[in-house]
Amino acid sequence: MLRYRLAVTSRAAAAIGGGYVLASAAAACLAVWLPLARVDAVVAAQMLSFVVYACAALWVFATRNAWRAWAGVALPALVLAALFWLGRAGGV
Amino acid sequence: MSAAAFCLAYAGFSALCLAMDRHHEDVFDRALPRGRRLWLRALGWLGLVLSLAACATAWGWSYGIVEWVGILSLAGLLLIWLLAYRPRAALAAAGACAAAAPLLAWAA
Amino acid sequence: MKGMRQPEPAQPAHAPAEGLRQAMSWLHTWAGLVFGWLLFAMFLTGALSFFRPEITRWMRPEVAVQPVSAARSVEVAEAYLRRHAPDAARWFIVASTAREPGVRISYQAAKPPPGQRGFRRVTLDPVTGQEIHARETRGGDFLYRFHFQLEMGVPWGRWLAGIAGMFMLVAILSGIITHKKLFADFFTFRPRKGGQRAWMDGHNALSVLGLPFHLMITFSGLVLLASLLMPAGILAAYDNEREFFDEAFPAFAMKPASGQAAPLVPLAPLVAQAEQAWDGGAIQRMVVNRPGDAAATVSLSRAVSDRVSYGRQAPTLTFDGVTGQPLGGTGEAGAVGTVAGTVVGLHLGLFAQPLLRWAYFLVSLAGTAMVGTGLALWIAKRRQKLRSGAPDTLSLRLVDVLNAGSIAGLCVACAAYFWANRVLPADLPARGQWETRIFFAAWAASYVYAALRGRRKWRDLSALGALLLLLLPVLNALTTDRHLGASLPAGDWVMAGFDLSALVAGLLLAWIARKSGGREQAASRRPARHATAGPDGAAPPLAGSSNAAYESR
Repeated sequence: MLRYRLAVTSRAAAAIGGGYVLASAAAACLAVWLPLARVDAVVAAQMLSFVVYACAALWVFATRNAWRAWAGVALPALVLAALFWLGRAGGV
Repeated sequence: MSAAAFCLAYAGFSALCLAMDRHHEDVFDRALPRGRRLWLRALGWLGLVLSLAACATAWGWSYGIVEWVGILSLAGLLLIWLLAYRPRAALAAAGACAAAAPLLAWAA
Repeated sequence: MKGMRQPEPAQPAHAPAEGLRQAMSWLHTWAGLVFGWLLFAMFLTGALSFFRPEITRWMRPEVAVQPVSAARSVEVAEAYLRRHAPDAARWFIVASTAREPGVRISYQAAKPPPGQRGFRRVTLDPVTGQEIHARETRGGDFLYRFHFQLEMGVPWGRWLAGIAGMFMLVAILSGIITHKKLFADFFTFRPRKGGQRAWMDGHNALSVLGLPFHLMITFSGLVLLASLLMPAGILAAYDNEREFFDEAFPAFAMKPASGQAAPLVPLAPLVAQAEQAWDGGAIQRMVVNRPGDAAATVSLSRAVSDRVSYGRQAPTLTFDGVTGQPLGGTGEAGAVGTVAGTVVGLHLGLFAQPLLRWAYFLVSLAGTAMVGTGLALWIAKRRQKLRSGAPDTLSLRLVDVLNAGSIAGLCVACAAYFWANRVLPADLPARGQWETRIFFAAWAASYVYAALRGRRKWRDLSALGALLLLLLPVLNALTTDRHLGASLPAGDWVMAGFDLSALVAGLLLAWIARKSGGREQAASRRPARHATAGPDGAAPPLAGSSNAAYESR
């Protein structure tokens, strides 16, 4: 029972906290990379980030175990964050 | 014209509803004959599409689509409510709506 | 939690599709429950917010003002502002409309008297030009602001509302995935089956038929709060948020004063120029920056209600404040701006004509009922699983108390708010605060009552709400002369509409009270009913797959 609750808590953390980080990374990445005027890119990025957040939350609970949940959130977040830094540094 | 749109939506949904075995039996106490299912489905979708056309005619496309979505929701909920408590009344209303719709559209 | 879901190790035994639906069903239940009570309150106050101005007008019955044109509104406002706020940094003028006929102005007083706030809001009678004095009330604005701020300080209330919105979005999407037989069960509603089955059907029907609306309203609500909830997007491209807002909403950016005095150009003629430029579009807002300064500018905004895509920002025209020369403005938004504007506009519904506005209101109420039936369904399922005759578990009782307080209790609170408006004396100091205090006191008392009362809480609270609402038009007649007897013949649809809606709401609550009374009697006869429960009830919870109950068959 404890193991079950730990797994659930872990997933909840991945969905809520991890999902937010992933969504923010997506927002930042899109804001920099979308081929639009700066203000439009930000607006579009924010709207899309909510979709990313929702999908991430669903995925976290659909996937087979809590480890995969975290991996599925953390890895894309890192990739998007890296892309964001590249874009920002490269003056996109 | 909005009234016509609502009537068309209600009649359309009623037809689609009657095209389902479960609800056909609720209302008619008879099983649904095979040929009738196709007719009912076609009429049902026609009703919904005409409802959209009525909304667009009255309000233009962008406003009309929003109004259509609202009308669909309300017509559907009304149908479900009637069907649960007064299936015969639901059917009668569908007939009345189907008849009234062209008159309302013409009068608008 | 027992029997909720198989613990992780046993899960791979299910087929992948079943596993997904089960997981989504679990997620839907818990995402829905955790924020369900708050979401119910947000949905109900949100529904009422579509009639915010009408509610405010009902709550100030002594005010009877006729709408005037935008040009006249500006004339009246200008006269008042020149006299009372000549050295303010900014003047805001909102033109008179059919829904809000008073001319609303606000300004930042340069040197406010000690103890008073600098930002002043005044509503003017467009005929006399005088400030309208009526009973102090927050009116419909209280409900509207509660809807997204929850009566908590900025930004905490909005954050909480945003989090609730995110949970709602997840609940909707997981609900869609779970509800496999979306089309087969489209029209299914079997209230007579009773118990969990009836609640399930009702919840499904309300959810599915309103699905486009619920999805739209939830997503658009998040977009409305996007700048608060997702600052990463802004900060990724801008150094600070101020830069972003100034670029996104250039007409409202503050420009520094030049320090030189210069007379302000007459404002009313600018309205005519703008109306011409917009080909008959209506003017809604005017912002005068630095009136009396050489660097003064006047920005006019088009009415948000002109188009759904204006929800976020309407086109603006800016004029030089001294010469009256047009300085440019923002035209129609680009693609992204139009999409965002439409999304936001759909949420606010300001573009809606009365018929569509009522549709918005009714479908919102369906959404409110969707949340409510979901909460009731949670209880119904758990009760069904208990052994016959066994008392409710602690968690079940707790949730039931929270349900009763949040659903029936909130209705009581709203009714109490309107009662307070009519009953409290007009000259009571801080009257507006007292009205909202009574709202929250009634709401809190409902929770306490629900906790103490146990069996009868639903019936009693619903009955109380019904009574208060049904008597509201009577109270209106006793305290004002704009009651149904006068408003119906006069075609005063604001007053009459409110009174009639209160009656309908009261009848609905009375029906709920009657049903609750019956149900609680049935619950005490539960052993007999449980024994005759059909195939979908007979094999309760021993095996792990409680989600069989989510099946329609």
